Amino acid sequence: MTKKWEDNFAALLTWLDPDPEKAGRKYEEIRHSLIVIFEWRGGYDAEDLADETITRVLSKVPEIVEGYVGDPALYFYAVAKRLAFEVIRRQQAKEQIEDPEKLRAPKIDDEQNDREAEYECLDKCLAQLPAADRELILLYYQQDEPTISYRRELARRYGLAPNALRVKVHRIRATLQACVNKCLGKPK
Amino acid sequence: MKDIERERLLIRQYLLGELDEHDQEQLEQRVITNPDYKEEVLITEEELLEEFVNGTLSLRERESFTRMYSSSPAQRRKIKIAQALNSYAAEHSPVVQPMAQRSWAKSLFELFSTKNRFHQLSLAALILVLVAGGSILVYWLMSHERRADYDALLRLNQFGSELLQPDGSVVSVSLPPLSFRGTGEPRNISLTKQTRTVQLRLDPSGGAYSFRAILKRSDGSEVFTLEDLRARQIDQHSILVLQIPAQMLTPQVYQLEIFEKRADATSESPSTFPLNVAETP
Repeated sequence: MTKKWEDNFAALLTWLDPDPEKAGRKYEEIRHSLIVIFEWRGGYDAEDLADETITRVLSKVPEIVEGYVGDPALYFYAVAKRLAFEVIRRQQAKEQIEDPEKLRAPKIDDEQNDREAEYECLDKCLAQLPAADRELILLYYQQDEPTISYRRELARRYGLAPNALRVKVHRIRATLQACVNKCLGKPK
Repeated sequence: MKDIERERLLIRQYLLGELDEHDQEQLEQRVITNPDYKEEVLITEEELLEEFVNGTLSLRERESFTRMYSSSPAQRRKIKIAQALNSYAAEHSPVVQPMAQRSWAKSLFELFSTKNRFHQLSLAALILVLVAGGSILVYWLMSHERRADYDALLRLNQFGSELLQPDGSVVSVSLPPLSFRGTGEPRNISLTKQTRTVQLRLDPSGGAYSFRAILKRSDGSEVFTLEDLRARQIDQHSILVLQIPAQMLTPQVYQLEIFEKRADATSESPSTFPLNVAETP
């Protein structure tokens, strides 16, 4: 890491928030948002694209910080959007050269080989959750076709409003997903 | 459509790649500037994944979903984890597995045959644990039975469920119209050994959007709450029908409270109907 990079990164954090702790949290929040946005846009390696976005913002920080008005996150977004267009153009150019038959969207069930590994990781990660969280997430997903009434009753049993239950289950699931990804040796 | 429903629909359209560039940007800007909104999008994504895995997406949505979620390894991984979680949850009841019988038997034998004081104390502790464990097991069995009853209740009253016809196994009782606001003499309900379902019918009269029913025992404790009950059209009349599994009822006087819920989510104070349940041979 060069001195300039370090200086720019320090300036970036200060731009996000004068409080270093809050700035760190905001940085992580923005990076995570960029990753999920690239994923939703179908980016092949969302994490790399998010980091590329941050690198581009970093290189511009000394010029923009002074005069910029508004939420810095929106600047990151504008850079990410430009990068997404570049990636699409690159992919289109590549598709014209390569055999179109091979470029068809891969089938969803074409990666069955590591199903057992996923199951094992899930088992291991569920075991790491607090017992109450484990019970809740298994109950939440237990029905083949969960009905609204079933989940409303579940929320009542846990003394939560239905939306609070959605949020709680999502947070448990996010922890679980991160653990499974780590267990499988995959990013995020 | 309520704002929250409109918002969720917009998020679904985004995740399915059905928004135009302008709306897509608006939504993504909210994601990057508002963590709560991002969480809502992530939750909606989980729900979409679940619907895909359960096969409950419409054909059009399924096509869009497949296009969007087969484009990158990260998206495909989300599907695989959703599939794994669903099948895992279906196979694993969240109940503590019993310990192996052999080790229990062996330990018990050793404890009973020892004269060591420590082991005798251990035996006492074990008996305490067994009593506590037995109580937990009994409690679990009872709560499991209650859950089965409640599931049956939900099935009988969900939107579009079958309207049972009165016969030996179905006891049908008419209650005063909702506009009378309940009270009055208790309605008698006689259960026989053949009775499987108790059906309550009343004229909802008014402009309620849906109803909430709460059944309470004579001591005030709640038997169940049912949300979002809808009136049915029977012989060109709007009738509110509540179908209750007979095993949920025991001989006593119950209070049935019916709340009318209007389209704007407001509800009035409930109408209360006393029900005198008795068993006849």
